[in-house]
Amino acid sequence: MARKYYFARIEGKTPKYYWTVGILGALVLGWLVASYIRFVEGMYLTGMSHSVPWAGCKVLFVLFVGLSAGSFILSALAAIFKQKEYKVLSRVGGYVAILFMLGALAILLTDEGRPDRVLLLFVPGNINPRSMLSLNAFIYTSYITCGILYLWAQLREKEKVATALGIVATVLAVGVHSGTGFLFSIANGREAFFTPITPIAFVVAALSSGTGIAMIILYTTFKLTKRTIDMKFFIQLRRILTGLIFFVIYLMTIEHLTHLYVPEHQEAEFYIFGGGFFTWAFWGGLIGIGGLIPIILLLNPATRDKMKWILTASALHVFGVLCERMIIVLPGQFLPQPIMPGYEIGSAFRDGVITNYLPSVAEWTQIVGVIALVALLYILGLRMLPLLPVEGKYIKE
Amino acid sequence: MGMDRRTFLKLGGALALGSLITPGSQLLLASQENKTGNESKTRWAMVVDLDKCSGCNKECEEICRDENNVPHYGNERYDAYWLRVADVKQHLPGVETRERHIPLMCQHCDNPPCVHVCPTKASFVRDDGITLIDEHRCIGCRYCVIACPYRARSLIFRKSDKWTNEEVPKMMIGVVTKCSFCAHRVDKGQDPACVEKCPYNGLIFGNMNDPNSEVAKIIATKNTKILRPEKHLGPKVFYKGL
Ligand code: SF4
Ligand code: SF4
Repeated sequence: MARKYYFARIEGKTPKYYWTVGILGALVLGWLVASYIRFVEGMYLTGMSHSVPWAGCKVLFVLFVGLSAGSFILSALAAIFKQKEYKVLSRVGGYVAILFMLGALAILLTDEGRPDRVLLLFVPGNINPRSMLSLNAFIYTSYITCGILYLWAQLREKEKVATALGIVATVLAVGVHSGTGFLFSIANGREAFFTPITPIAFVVAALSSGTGIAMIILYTTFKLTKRTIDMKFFIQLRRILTGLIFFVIYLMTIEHLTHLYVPEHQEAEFYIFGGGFFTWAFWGGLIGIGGLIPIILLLNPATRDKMKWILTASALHVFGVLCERMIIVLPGQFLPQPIMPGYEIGSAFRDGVITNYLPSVAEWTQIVGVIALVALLYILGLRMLPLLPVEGKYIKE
Repeated sequence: MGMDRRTFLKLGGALALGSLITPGSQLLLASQENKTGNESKTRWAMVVDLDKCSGCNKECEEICRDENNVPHYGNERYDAYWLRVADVKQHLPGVETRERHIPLMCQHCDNPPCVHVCPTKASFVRDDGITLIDEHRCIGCRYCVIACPYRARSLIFRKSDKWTNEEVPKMMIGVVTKCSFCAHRVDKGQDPACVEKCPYNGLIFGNMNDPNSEVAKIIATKNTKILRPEKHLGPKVFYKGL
């Protein structure tokens, strides 16, 4: 069988390329320095507190875990679902998926109080099957390992191996995304976290935001490397994205309606919807900017076939999912835990107080640095591995 | 003995996960270990007599700090607490509102969510029911801080040189810490420091499985309450006069 696609490294010898590598490298260095100082000096350098022990870095973590889903599916379409026309994107998709996951682990690791001890997670006597985090440590690492092997099989054109590994990776991916949702939804201590829908919503929002970011990355890459890519890919992905956005909004409605009807959970809902930052994040960010506007752009005949608008819609939706991730992580911690319901309570430990959180300089440096890390590895990868097709042709068999 | 729904679910979950990670049999044993039905064992418990606790100068907070080297940085955001005295008020129609003082600390749950979520088993339950943290094994992930419904846990946010009691190690940076029921004293047959030194004798400590102990007798009067009973965690700190 004659090969239909040719993959080639990018040249990467322009000054622009070197400048980009330099700037991203500096930001990554910033991440390392900030993480080191934070580790040695202590976490008081972050904006966290005893009431809000999971904050900005965890938001980026859940966002990145989610973003890896879309690129992975893009890659798996050809390998597993036999959509042969997607073969041309399967390498770069797989690579981006691995990178987002690595980024997620990088921020997770440097957000721990004792990153030096993280290998303890893998010591047999320490494994705690009741702990979602303990299980996730294994699911995440298996997923990345499997992803790397899968990419290797793609690069070597070992189709059968790639398909087999792709199937395993897909199963693991479902575990990764539901597992991340479970981290929150089964934590006993925070009322607002509890909901069986989070793991499902997590998977769906991961697919939608992941598809969005994958489109942006692909288009930009092909544009900047002056290679061509067929619009048909984007038209198909646009349809998938539209459906997924509807699904995200539907799940969010179900979740919050359920809570609003149950007195036990009303307090948390009233807090989220009672005005203030999270009300804006929900209505403005998730539903408006991240939901309705993209849907209008993707359905309206005047805009839906224009690349500019498809990409705008994708970017807006990724922003919407960022807001959704913040709503998963933060408000449940800001609300005081009802240690003594029916009593007014106060103490030096800030019992009964609605707390607040703002990321500190150290956290911003870490967050920006890890985003830069993913970008840096991406452009380095394009230069070192034949990931991109010479021509992004859409060939239907 | 029939299997209740909870045990059944637990076993089912354990089996499903076990097939992924470790042999199922090992997990079954592990989940049996967590059962705390053995009545003959020692189970340390505390009774807080709120009629006696006057909130004084919140002296137990200070006593606890000095006994266990709990750091105080003078910053509300990250000051660590093993024990704090909360001021509570209940507003009831027709009753004059009065302020009460309630010492809050780790409740040493029988079914502790903090232990369940700990990814390295740094948090664990001793045979006598005391929940402890192995500070050398804690990776500082703070999942337990999220999971504890009583806000009993603090992270050590900053280096601390406080070493007022040399019997207990200095606090390690970046790990989570909480009340240990003064396990180092209990093991020597002493009461926890706050119990011994409360000027009003508002705290009582003992083995709740020994019917002759003072705590068991007070609990038997049914005049005590536990906090957040809806969580089904089996806390071992009992509040009298709430
Ligand atoms: S009170 Fe909190 S820290 Fe103490 S055992 Fe219960 S869940 Fe764990
Ligand atoms: S912070 Fe430490 S004790 Fe708490 S769950 Fe994580 S590893 Fe366990």
